[in-house]
Amino acid sequence: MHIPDNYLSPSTCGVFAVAMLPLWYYSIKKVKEELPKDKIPLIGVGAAFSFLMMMFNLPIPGGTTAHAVGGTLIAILLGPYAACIAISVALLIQAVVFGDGGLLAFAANAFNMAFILPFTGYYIFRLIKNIWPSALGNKIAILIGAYIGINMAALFAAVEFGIQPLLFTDAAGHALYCPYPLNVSVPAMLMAHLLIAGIAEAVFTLAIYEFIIKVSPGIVHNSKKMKLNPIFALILVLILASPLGLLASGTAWGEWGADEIAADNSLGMMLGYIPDKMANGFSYDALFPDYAVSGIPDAAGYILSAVIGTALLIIIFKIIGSMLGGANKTA
Amino acid sequence: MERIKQLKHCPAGQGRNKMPAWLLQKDYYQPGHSTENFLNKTLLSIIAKMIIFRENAIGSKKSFVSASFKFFFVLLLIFLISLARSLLFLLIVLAVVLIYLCFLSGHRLLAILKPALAAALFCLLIMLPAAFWGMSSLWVLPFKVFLTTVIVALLAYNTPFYLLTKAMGGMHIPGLFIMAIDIAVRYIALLGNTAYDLLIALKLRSVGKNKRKYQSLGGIMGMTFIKSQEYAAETYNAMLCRCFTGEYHVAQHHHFQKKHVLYVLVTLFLLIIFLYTEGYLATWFH
Repeated sequence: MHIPDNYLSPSTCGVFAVAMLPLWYYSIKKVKEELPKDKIPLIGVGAAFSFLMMMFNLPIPGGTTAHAVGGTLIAILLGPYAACIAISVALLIQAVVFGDGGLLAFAANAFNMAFILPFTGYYIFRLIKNIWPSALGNKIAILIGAYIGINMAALFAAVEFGIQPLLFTDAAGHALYCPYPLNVSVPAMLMAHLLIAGIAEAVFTLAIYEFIIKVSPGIVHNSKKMKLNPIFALILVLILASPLGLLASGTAWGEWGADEIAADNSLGMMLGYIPDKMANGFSYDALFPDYAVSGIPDAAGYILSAVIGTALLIIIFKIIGSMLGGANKTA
Repeated sequence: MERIKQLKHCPAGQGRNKMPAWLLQKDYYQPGHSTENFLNKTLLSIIAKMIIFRENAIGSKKSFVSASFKFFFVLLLIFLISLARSLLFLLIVLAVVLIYLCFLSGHRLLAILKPALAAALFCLLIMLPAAFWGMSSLWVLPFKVFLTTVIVALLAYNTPFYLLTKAMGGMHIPGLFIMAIDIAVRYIALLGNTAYDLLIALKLRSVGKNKRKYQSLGGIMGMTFIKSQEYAAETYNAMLCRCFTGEYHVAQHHHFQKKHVLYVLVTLFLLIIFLYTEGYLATWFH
């Protein structure tokens, strides 16, 4: 679901940046007001989970891949505003360090995955939980919330892709940016997420939520004990397992490189051309393009990437937490 | 007692009339804006940083890894980082360092990362002209500087300083050199404290606008310098009285311990990773 650069026009990206700025501002304000200071580092742990889950690519029939996001999980654990910030930072690190998702398209990606996904998932979870207040109801609410959350995000991403060929074409009728209209992009994206990624997201969310409630209930309920070591252990297991994401060798729908798109046959036949702006648009060389490091096997590079990304997220939010905590003490 | 009784019998207001009028007026004194931002932001903050050194000098919990090994390992690591030509080795070191940093508290993280990032930025600034000659790996050197600074900062934060001097003594580093470092670190903290106290005293005594504050600064620094001379002479004499001969001789008790095997394994592992990533082992693997 990470939209690369040059799939959306700069104007589309601008619209999403304008939409995200007040959302980020409001989220930061809400988190500052509502989340206890000692829980701010947990946003980093949440972001680390999300980052790792996005590395587990799942194969989709038809040669593409998709992945879970974990947004609903963070939203249920720490609230949707904290989830918005956590996923935004995870996406930023993916874009800047790993070249996953475009720099220009960052705001659009954040809108889909850091805003639509956690908020949809969280409020559906709350709704079902209120209607059906029991242990089973809670579980079902988590499953359905996570499932609908990620599919809603996929739908938004598909619509963003789909409106590009309607708005931006050159004189020859060739699309300048993403070449697939709504009737191709929406089914392609939703198929992947309804069938595979949505189920993975729901199962992951429930499993990790149950694990966290069992080992460290303090994360959700303020009065109880908070233990981080088992959670770090879980993160470690996920890091070591991350090369499983390499088993799915295809590229996710809508994340092809310029050389791959000409041969793609989502339209029923080969596209046959490279959209102009994709061939000569904005380009950015990341430190680890596609989580790979030259000189070592892909799996080792994947683990190295996972370690660095996860640690960066945890460190960033620890520092933010201590800065906010310090400011409060002096005030 | 008589006087108090008289006062008590006085009708209200009679005593108040005796007060001078200016005492009854409300005071709306607003001190003029004094230009002390410079003082606060530069000197005080620099000196406050110096005091951090002292916290460091106090011993912490006994750690599993001995100070000598830490010292040796950090030196080796810095050496290998400087030698590394491939990015891969640096990235592996970065990953390990980041994992370690994850377990520190936020305040410590800031204290370690801030100087390291500043050093890297400064290095990048110096390297910037190279960009005009089309040097592509512009940021490798700043990256190396960042890594080495973080590693040294981690060592300093982890190990009380007296253990480090002991480790240096064990490695037969010349006594004069160790003494210079030892005394410098102690005195940076002590003199920082002296200067800090003097500055605070100056601030407290300058009510309102004190235009001569900067003239006093020279005095403070001069005073600190004189104090440093006194301290140094006294310390040196005190050390001589305690039989200090200028040698940091460390009695070497080399009893074999199980953890020494671990030290050797860790060092070997580091060397193998270095050699593999630099491509020296490629012939063995193929």
